[in-house]
Amino acid sequence: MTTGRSPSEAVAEYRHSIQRMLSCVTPSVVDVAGGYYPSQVPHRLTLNGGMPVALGGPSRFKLEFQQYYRILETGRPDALWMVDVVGYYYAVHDSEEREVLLYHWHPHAISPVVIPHLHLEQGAHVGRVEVRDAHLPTGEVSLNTILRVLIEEMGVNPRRSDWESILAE
Amino acid sequence: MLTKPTKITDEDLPQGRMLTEEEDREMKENLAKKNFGMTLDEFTEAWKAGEFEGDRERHGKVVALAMMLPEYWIE
Repeated sequence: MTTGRSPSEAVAEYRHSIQRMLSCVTPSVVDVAGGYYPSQVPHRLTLNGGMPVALGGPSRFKLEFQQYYRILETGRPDALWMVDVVGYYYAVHDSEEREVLLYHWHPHAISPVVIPHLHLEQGAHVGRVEVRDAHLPTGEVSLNTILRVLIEEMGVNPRRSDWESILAE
Repeated sequence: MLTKPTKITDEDLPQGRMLTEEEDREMKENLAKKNFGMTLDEFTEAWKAGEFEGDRERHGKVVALAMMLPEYWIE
């Protein structure tokens, strides 16, 4: 949860924290779409205009990232506004842009599946159709945990020497 | 090939922007064209009509773009 004295300050702080985490694996930019006001339709952070970005390392994975948030009033004098994450779309693609892992969470959407879930996609080479088509429950997955797995276990090179401390925050 | 991590500081981070409505629309148009070969309006119409239901191959791309539509969110 990110807070600020104004909606724009809370969003700027939130965007900065996401950009900082992503800088561990990519120089690409995170932009904000929507606005600095409370709204029923969530606002969005998007990496690289919604296009997958190539990650360094022998696995040659690509990453796609969107996160959805609302701006709420806290009632606290020191931090009047907060950013509440209400959904995400994280995708790991192979070098040919076949999807490997899809992490979805859209609890306030028209989809019948409201729990956070994982899809094992074509690029994961899962043979069983029941598994490939399943919405595998995950609990809410944070960006830093995904990035840690990519670096520590999936052959993605970190760009920053301080990546461990950033992704541990 | 392993690349050594470098000393990047927070001052080096790229400055993101608040997209204008036009820029946001352009982003969605680009995704609709790249992933579906159609305009955003055509995608929205097809998605609302349920034309992507059961399209397992493009499920991820459909969700990624549909989530960007205000109509996707119900609360």
